Amino acid sequence: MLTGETLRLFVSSLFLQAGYNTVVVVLGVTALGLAAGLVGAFALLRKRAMMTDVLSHATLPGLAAAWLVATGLGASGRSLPVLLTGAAIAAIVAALTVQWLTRAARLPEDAAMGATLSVFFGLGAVLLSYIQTLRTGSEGGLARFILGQTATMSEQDAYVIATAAVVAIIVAVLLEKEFRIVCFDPQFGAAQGWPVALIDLLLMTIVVGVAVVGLQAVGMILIIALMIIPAATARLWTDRLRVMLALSSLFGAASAWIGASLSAALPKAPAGGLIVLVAGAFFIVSLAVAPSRIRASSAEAR
Amino acid sequence: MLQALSAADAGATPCSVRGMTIDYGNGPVLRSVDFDAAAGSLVAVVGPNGAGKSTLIKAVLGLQPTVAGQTRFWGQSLRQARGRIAYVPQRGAVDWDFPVSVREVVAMGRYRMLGWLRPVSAAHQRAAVEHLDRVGMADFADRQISRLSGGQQQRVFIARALAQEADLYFMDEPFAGVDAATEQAIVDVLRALRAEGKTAVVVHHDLATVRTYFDSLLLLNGEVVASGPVDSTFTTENLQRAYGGRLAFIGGALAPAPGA
Amino acid sequence: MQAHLLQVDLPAAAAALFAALACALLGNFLVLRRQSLMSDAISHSLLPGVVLAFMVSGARTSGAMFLGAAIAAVVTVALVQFVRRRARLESGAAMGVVFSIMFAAGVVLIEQGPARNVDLDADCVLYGQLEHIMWLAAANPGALLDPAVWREAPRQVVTLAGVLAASAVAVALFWKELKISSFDPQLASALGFSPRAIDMGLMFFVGLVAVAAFEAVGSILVIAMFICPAAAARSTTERLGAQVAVSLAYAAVAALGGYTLAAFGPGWAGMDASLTASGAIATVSGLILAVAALARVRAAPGALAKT
Repeated sequence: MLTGETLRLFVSSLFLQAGYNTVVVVLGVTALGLAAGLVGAFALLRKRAMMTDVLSHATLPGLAAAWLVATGLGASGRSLPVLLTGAAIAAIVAALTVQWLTRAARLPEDAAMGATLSVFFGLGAVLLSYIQTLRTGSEGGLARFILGQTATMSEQDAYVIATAAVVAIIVAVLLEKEFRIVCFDPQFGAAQGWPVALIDLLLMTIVVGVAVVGLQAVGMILIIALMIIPAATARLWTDRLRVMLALSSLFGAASAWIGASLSAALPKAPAGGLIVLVAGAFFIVSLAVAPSRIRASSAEAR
Repeated sequence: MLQALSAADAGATPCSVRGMTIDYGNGPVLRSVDFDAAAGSLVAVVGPNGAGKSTLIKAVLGLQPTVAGQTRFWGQSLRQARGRIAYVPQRGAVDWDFPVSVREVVAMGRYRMLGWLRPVSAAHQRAAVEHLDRVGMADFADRQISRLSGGQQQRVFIARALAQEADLYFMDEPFAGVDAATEQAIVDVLRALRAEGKTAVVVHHDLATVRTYFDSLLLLNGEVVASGPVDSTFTTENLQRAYGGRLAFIGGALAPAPGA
Repeated sequence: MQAHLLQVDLPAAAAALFAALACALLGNFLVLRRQSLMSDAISHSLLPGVVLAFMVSGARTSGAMFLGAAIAAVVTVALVQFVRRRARLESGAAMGVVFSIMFAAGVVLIEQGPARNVDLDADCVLYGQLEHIMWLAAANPGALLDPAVWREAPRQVVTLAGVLAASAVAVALFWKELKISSFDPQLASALGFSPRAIDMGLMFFVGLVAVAAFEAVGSILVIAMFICPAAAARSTTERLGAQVAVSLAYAAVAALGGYTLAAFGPGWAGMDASLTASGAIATVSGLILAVAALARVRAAPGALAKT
């Protein structure tokens, strides 16, 4: 609960006064929030909100398999790049599974997504329970990816997160026009000769990239929140795509900054939960006071 | 006439479809369609619900897999000719709540000219507004698209196709559910295109206006029932063959429309 | 060994079986109505209800927990509707916003005050505690004939059996309405069935089953059981009655097969490891779905997917 000491820790982290490692972690997570807000806005507009949830849950078996492989080869299961590579591969396999279930097996898309999410996560849980019985002493590292934990993040981890976030931001800014047409009217885009499937793939690639590097900070269960809630909040304030992208990045960054600072003060509470609650507070306040959606709906009534 | 001259030369036919068959897996939706759209003609694609009108247009544009058949544009492949082809999808196909302005939607017609990564320049922005003006929508350039009436939304889609500055236009039900002012604006655009020697293939549902608005007809019902000049193909017998028993409902439409 | 089988494996397998059957039964309608992901949303957002119930009642009693989770389920459905309309989001995005905020509130609340002292953490929410269900009174096969032993049957198993029976009765009673409104909502309302009332009723039972199941098997298995058997059955048959029957068979195979693999698999393989049973059951249900989907693709290889 809030004591004077937690409050002091929170404020000093918020204003980057809490020691070098905490500062780097808070800034790294903030870069992640910025990237998630930006990429998430496109995911929301492409109606892929729940797909981000599927992909992030699906990283669990990849993380566990990467740990097993790395440990089996005598390397450390704690290496972040190795674990995140496994996570990304699992997310890509999940995306292909959803596509195969809908296209080839003709299942409804929501059923394909829910089945993929739960089965991949279930498989990951089995692998995780197996790893836990090995008692190697280094297995504790994996659980942090489920709900997020900034306390265990090193400076190095923060740099990995920030670098990936910057790459995702650059890609999203460069391809804004392409993402815009595919999100608004993919048929028209295809008729003009744009490779819609390729552009979709690029979009999902940066979504996976941001989700994977965000696992440690936010956790796989709540990554969807950092992608979708800032975007939904931004949409309440504006009818302009560029403004929405900027606001969504801003809400994402602010949620991550404040949430990570809270997490530094409350190391036991999962960082993901704190960050999402801050993002949720922005959304709820915006829902109550933002003007744009109400005007839009009354104008549409004509 | 331009039409007669170009028909002789296959390389000059804007759109030529041969043997197109489409099957979703439960029997063919379209069977072995042959069809030519002559340069400078306005072609109505007409048929009952489920006749495969939209499907044909999507297949021609490569948006729909086909089982058999090929399409040539001025004798070229779709890949080569894509820059000369514009498309107006059905209005219901997009999310009108999307956060873009009218001008930004019309500017999408210029994306192909821009190519990868390049942003929309001021010149293209201006071009977008000019094309909006052709459908009487220039005053709405900065409006959010959800704050338009259905007819206005349709005119924005037409302006976006005009912004493609193409020679061949495919329009999917542009007259569906629009007000009289919009209908007139679209007809004006079609006639202006014809006057410039351009070609439009339009999925149309209102039999009463076929004679007034179009010169050619493609009558579909899972296969081609008739195709050619409206005068010789828009007959009671052909319509009866396309619509079957359902023609009773539309019998009144067969009389030539006033002013035809 | 035999006592362990009766006291541990029997009640755990029964809980998994009842949970799987109840979820699969309702899952048929979720899959048909394109509402599969609602099971994802509901099973995640139960958490704050459960935690608050702990904090208020101060104990891990089933009544308070059941009530807290049930309220959370109803609140979720209402909030998703509200956010969808008010913020004009597509239903997937509205679900994502609502359930992630609720789940976040739950995981933060767990770390606070009284809830921290109760044996509850995010792990048991996700994977459940199938392995912790015990029936100590069933010490030997003879004891199964003693009514007193049955009165001590584990609470979770009894609850799940009750919820399964209630769902089965409800589906049987409203079979015609569910069938019509799932296949053709417009026809249903034209005939005078309110699709909204049927929808709310279905969601109520989904919430009830999710609440009863999640404590035993965890939220992940709840989602898998709602969706996988029904989706696999849909790939197997086109008729609703057959689909429901097949989905129940698949669910039973997944539950018993998955439990057996998790409980005895490592021993058979000569490994000293224990696997999470709910994860194994979810995995087996996924394998069943994969085989059913593959069979369907094989059966109609030439067909082009509708775009």
